[in-house]
Amino acid sequence: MKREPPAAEDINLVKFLQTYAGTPPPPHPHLEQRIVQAALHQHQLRQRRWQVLSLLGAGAIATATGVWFLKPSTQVAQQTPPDAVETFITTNWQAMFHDGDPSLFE
Amino acid sequence: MGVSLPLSAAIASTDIVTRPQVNDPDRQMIEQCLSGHPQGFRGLYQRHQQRVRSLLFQLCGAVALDDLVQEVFLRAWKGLKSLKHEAKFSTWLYRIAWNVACDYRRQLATRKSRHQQYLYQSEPLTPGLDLRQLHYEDLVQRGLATLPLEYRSVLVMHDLQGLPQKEIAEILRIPVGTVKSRLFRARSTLRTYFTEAGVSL
Repeated sequence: MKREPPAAEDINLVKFLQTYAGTPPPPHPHLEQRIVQAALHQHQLRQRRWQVLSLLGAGAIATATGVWFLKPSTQVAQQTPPDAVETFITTNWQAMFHDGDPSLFE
Repeated sequence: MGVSLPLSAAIASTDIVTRPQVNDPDRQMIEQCLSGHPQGFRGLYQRHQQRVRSLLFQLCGAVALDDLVQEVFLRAWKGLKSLKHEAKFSTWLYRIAWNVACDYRRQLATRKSRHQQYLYQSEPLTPGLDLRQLHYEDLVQRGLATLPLEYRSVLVMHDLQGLPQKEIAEILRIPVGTVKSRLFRARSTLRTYFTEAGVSL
């Protein structure tokens, strides 16, 4: 793909423009280095962002997994039949307040 | 002088019109860049910086040229991942340069300070040139400055950068017919300007 040649009446104008368009001033001597450094810096920032995001993701997954698997199971109290001593104490203790003779405490 | 430009245009610039597979000589360096090697990016910069610089100089002047060139290449670096495989890198890069130039001129128009006017007036002259050369260079710069940016960019890309009309149409996302008409108008406006300034072409 090449540039279309100018029409005959434009040839002089185009030549004049090309001759006197001027040249840009030379770049700062460290411009190339500055641009490459800035690009590298961006690249590192992007990498670091991904690292942080992947760490956060892994942490979230680990937390969710932990919550799921380490969830304490519901504890149900074991109900064993009361033994004889316990029944005796309970009965007598309650009898002291409800059925006891009040004169005993006076 | 630091230049901070909005990124909106850069993001918009990344999806250049696709076309059939192009054997892009820059592809290898692009692949290097994508894998994070700065050498590839350095290669792309060295290969294209002169033309990008020249385009920006003709569109925006010399004041913030280094900053603008840096902006173009950093936007390119950021957007490389979104560069489609079929797209030609140089066309895509020109598109970014065009966006950066537009942003810069918009920014200048909104806050044209006295300081910047002073800087513009005190641009250093190229040493070692005769007065006639300087006079004509100044005349061309003034002539270009009279053109609206749309016409100026087409003229600069076509007549000074040597880009074909089809590629300019892709860069500016306008039909080829519009490129032709803008080129015609830009040339006739400039011819009139030069004639009034005493230069017959």
